[in-house]
Amino acid sequence: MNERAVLRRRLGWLLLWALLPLPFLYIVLPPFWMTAVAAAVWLVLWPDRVPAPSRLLLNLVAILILVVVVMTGGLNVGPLRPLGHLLLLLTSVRVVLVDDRTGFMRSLALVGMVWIVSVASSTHMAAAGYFLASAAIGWWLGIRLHLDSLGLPGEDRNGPLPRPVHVVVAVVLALAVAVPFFLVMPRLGSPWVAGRSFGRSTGFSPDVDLGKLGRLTQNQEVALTMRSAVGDDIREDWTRLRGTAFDQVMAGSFVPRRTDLRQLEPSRGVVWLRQEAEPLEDLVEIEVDLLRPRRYLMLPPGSVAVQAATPMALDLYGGVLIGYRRGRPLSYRIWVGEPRPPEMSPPTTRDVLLPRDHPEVRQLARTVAGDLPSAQARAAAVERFLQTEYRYSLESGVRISDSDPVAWFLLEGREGHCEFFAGAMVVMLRHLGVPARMVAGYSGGDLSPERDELVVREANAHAWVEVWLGESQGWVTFDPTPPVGVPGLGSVGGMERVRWAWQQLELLWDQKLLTFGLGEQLDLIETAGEWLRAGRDAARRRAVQLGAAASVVGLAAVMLVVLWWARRVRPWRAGRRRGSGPASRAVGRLARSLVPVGGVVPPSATVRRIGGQAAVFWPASAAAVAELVDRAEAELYGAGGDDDPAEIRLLWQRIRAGMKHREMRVGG
Amino acid sequence: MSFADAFPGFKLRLTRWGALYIAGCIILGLAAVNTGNNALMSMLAMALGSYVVSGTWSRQVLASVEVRVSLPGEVFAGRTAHAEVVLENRSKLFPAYGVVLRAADGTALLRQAFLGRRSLSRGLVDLKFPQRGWTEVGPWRLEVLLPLGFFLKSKELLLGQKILVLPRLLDREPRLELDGGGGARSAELFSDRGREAEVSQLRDFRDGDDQRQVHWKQTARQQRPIVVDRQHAAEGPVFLVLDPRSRNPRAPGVAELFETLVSEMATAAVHRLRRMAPVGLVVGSTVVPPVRDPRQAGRVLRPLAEVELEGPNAEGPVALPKHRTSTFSLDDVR
Repeated sequence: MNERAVLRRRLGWLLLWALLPLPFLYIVLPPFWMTAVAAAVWLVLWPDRVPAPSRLLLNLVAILILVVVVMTGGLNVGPLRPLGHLLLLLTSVRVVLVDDRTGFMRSLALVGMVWIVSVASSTHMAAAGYFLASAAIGWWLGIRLHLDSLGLPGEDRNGPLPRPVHVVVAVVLALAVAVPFFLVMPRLGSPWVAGRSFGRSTGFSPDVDLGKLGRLTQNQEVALTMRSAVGDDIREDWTRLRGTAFDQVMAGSFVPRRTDLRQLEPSRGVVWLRQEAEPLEDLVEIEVDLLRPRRYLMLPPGSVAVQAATPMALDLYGGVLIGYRRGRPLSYRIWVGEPRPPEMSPPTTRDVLLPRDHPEVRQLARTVAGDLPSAQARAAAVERFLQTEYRYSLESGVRISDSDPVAWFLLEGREGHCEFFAGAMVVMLRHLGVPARMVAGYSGGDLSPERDELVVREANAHAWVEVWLGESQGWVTFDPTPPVGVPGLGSVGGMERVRWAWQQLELLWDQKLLTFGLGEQLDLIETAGEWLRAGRDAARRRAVQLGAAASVVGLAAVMLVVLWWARRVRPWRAGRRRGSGPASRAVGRLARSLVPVGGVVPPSATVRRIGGQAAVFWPASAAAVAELVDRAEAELYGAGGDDDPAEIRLLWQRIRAGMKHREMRVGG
Repeated sequence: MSFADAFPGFKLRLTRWGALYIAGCIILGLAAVNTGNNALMSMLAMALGSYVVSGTWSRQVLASVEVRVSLPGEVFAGRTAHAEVVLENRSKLFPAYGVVLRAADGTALLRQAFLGRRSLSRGLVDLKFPQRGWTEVGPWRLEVLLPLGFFLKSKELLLGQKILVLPRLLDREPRLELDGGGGARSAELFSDRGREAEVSQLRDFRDGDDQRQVHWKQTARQQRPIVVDRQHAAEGPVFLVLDPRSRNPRAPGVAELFETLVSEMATAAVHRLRRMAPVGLVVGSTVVPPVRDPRQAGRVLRPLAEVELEGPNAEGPVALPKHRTSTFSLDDVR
C-alpha cells in the first residue's frame, strides 16, 4: 500500500472514531453524519480507489453543500446545528481529497473539529471512556506522525512504535495533570452566550426549555434526587414537582410575574408555606438535593414547610424563589401533608389576559368548549381535545420567527411538546374567560429498588396547567399533554440493583464532572479551608503527643530520601564525595598548613605537588607525607573507597610532629 | 548540577505544530469559558495536561540521553570515515522517541526512532573532513522533538575530542625522483614490475589499492576482493623529504600548492608501504626512521598531517646524504 493509501485509511479510521457519538446525540440530522460515515468507510475499505474530481465539480459540490444546509433549516434552527451540518459535509468531501501529508494534516484539523463537536455534545457517562480512548489515540497519532516526519520507521524489532504501554502511561499522567487544570478553570459564565442563565420565560423553541427549569430534549442530566428522611416509600403524587406558574404571555412566551414577592422568615427552624401551621411530627419529611438550582425550589403537592440554607421568597403562584446561587447545588428539606395545590390568591385580570385576539383560535376554543356551562367542564373538554386531536412530538418544526407559537401549534403544526399543549390550553381557556396559568416543573423519575429514593432528570421536565375553578376548589391541575409525552415513573426490572448502581454512578458523574461549576469550585475552596482549619486544630491538639515523634520520623524519612536521591537519582552527586575521605581531607589540611609558612598552593595543585612542597618545608615529615599522598591518591582514584580514619589520624600526628621539629629549628 | 551544565547550548524552538496547538488551546479555552461546557473544559484540561507531560518527557529525554563517540584511528582528508556513536538513555522512567544527532551544519548524522529506558543503541556516523591537521569533532547537537512535537529542544554535545586528519590521498601514485644512496634500480621500476617481487601477504581490498594487485583466484574463491602485497626484497629504504619553506608563503596559490605537495608525499608513502617497501620521512628538522609495515603508516603520515607552510628563513630539511631520498619542494614544483 502506498503512502497516500496509508494516510487515507488512517484518516478514515479517525473520522469514524470522531463520528462514533453522533448517532446517539441528535445534534445533527442523520443524513449528515451518515454522509461522513460513508466517506470514512470508503477511505478505510478502498483507499486506492478514490476519484479525483475536477475543480468545477468541487465548486458545484460546495454550492450543493450550502443549499443542503439551508434547506435543512438554516439559521432558523439556531446557529449550532447548521454549523455542525456544514462541518460534516465539508469534512466528508475534504477527507476523500487527501493526496499527501499536507492534505492529511489539514483534513485532520477538520476531523478534530468533528471530534470536539461530538465530545462537547456528549453528556452520557460513556463519554468519559470515549474521551480517554480518544486521548490515547491522540497520543499515539502525535508520536507516530512525528516519527514519520523525521523519516523514522514506525516499528522496530520489538514491535510497532509507539509502544501501547507508553501511550497509556502518557495518558494517565496527562489525566493526572489535567485534573487540577479542570478544577481551577474559570467558570464565570459569559455575557455572550445564552447558556445556563436564569431565564424567566418559556421558550417555544424546538429545544424545550421550560423557563430554564428543565430541558427536555434528550437531556439525561440529573436535576434532583429526593428521598424520605425516615426511609418511607416515595409516594407517586410527590413525583409531580412544581416550580412556579407563568401567567403573562409576552412575545410568544409565558412569563412569571416578579412582583408581590413575600419574603419567607423562618419560624421554629423552618419556613412555612401555608397559613395554618400543622405540627411537623404529623408530616412526612423529604430530603431533596437540587443539583441544578435555577430560581425556584421544586416542591411536591401538599408541601407545608421548607428548610433550606438560602434566602427564600414566596411568589403569587406558590413558587418559592431562592437566592442567586450560580448553579451551586442546594439541599433542602420539605415537610409534606396531604396533596393539594399551594395556597395562591384568586385570579386577577392578568390570568385571563391574552397576548392578542386571534379570531381563529377564539373560534376553535368556542367550538371545543363554548357551549359547556362550568369552568371545570370547559377545562376538561379542552384538555381532552388537546390530548386526542394533537400529536406529541419533540420536533415541532416551529420557527423562531413565528410570533405566536400557540396559534401556530393549534392551527398549523398540530404537534409539539408539553409547552405547546399547556400553552394552548391556557390560551383557549382564556378565550373562553376561564382563568388559567401554565405551570413548569418535573414529572416522574426513576425510583430506587427500595422505592425510597427518586432520581429526577432534566428529561423529566414538564409543563402543565392550573385552572381556577372558583373559590370552592381554587386552582386545580390539568395536564393536556398526551400520556405519551408526560414523563412517568421509571420501571425497575429484574436487574434493578445493577441498574440503580449504574444510576448512582451516573449521579456521581453528573455531580462531579458534568455540572461542575463555580459553585463546586467555591465548595472546594471552602472544603480546603475547612481541611486546613481542621488540620491546624488537630495538629494543635495532638502536638504534645505526636508532634516530636512525627517530626523525627519525617526528618529521618526526608534524609533517607535525600540520601537515596543523591546517590541513585543524581549520580553526579556521587562525584562530590570524592575528596571527602579522611586521607583527602588530611591533604587539604596539609595544603592549608603550607600557606602560612610561604608555600604556594594554587587551586589546581595536585595531591603529589602538595606533598612535594610539604616535604621541602618539613623534611622530617617527608616519609609520612609520602605515605599520606599515596593513601590520598588511592582514595581519590582507586576503587577501594575511603581510608581508615584512625590510621590517617596517626599519620597526621607524625606529620604534625615533623612540622614542629622545623618550627623548633627555625625558632632555635 | 545547574541547567547550563545539564543542557549546554540549550535551544528551544516552537514548532509549527506547537504554534497551532497553542492557538487551538486558546480557541478551545475561549469556547469553554464562554459556554461553561465542562466537556470543553475537560478537553482543554487534557490538552494542557498533555502539553505539560510532553514537555516534561522531552526535557527528561534530552537530559538523560548520553552520546559517546569512538573516532576512527585513521582519517584522511576528503575521505569518508566511520565513527561509532553510542546513544544511551540513562533514564529510569522515560523512554526516548525520535532522537536526532545533528552535525554543526545541521546535517542529521543519526536518527533513532526509539530508545528504551536504560538502554543503548550503536550506530555509525559518516565523517568527512576537508582539511588535514588537528580538527575538533563537533560541536554536534542532540535534538528531541517527540513525544508530541510542540517544541524542538536541543542541546550541544561537548565531545571534547580532537582528531588528527591525515593528508588527502591522491588517486594516482606520484613518481618519485630519487637522489643519492646509489643503486641502479629505482623504486618506480620495482613498482612497475611488481609481479616480480615476493608475495608478502594476501589481504582484503582497501580503498586506493591498485587493481593490478587483485588476486583474482582468491577473490573468486572467497567472494570478496583480495589483493596481494608483494615485498620488494631488493628494495632499500627511501626517505621522502619535504621542504616546507616558501619564498613567499602568502602569495596566492602557494598554500594550495603546498597542500598538493603534502598530498603527493602522503600518497607516495602509502603506496610504498602497501608494497611493504620501507619509507622514511624528513620534514624540516623532523626525521622519521624508515618503516615498512602499512600498520606503521601513522608514524610517517602524522608529521605530514601537522606540517605547516613556513617562510624562507625557516630551518630547511635535514640532509641525509647516505640515503636514497626524494625531495618535495615548492621550488621544484614551480
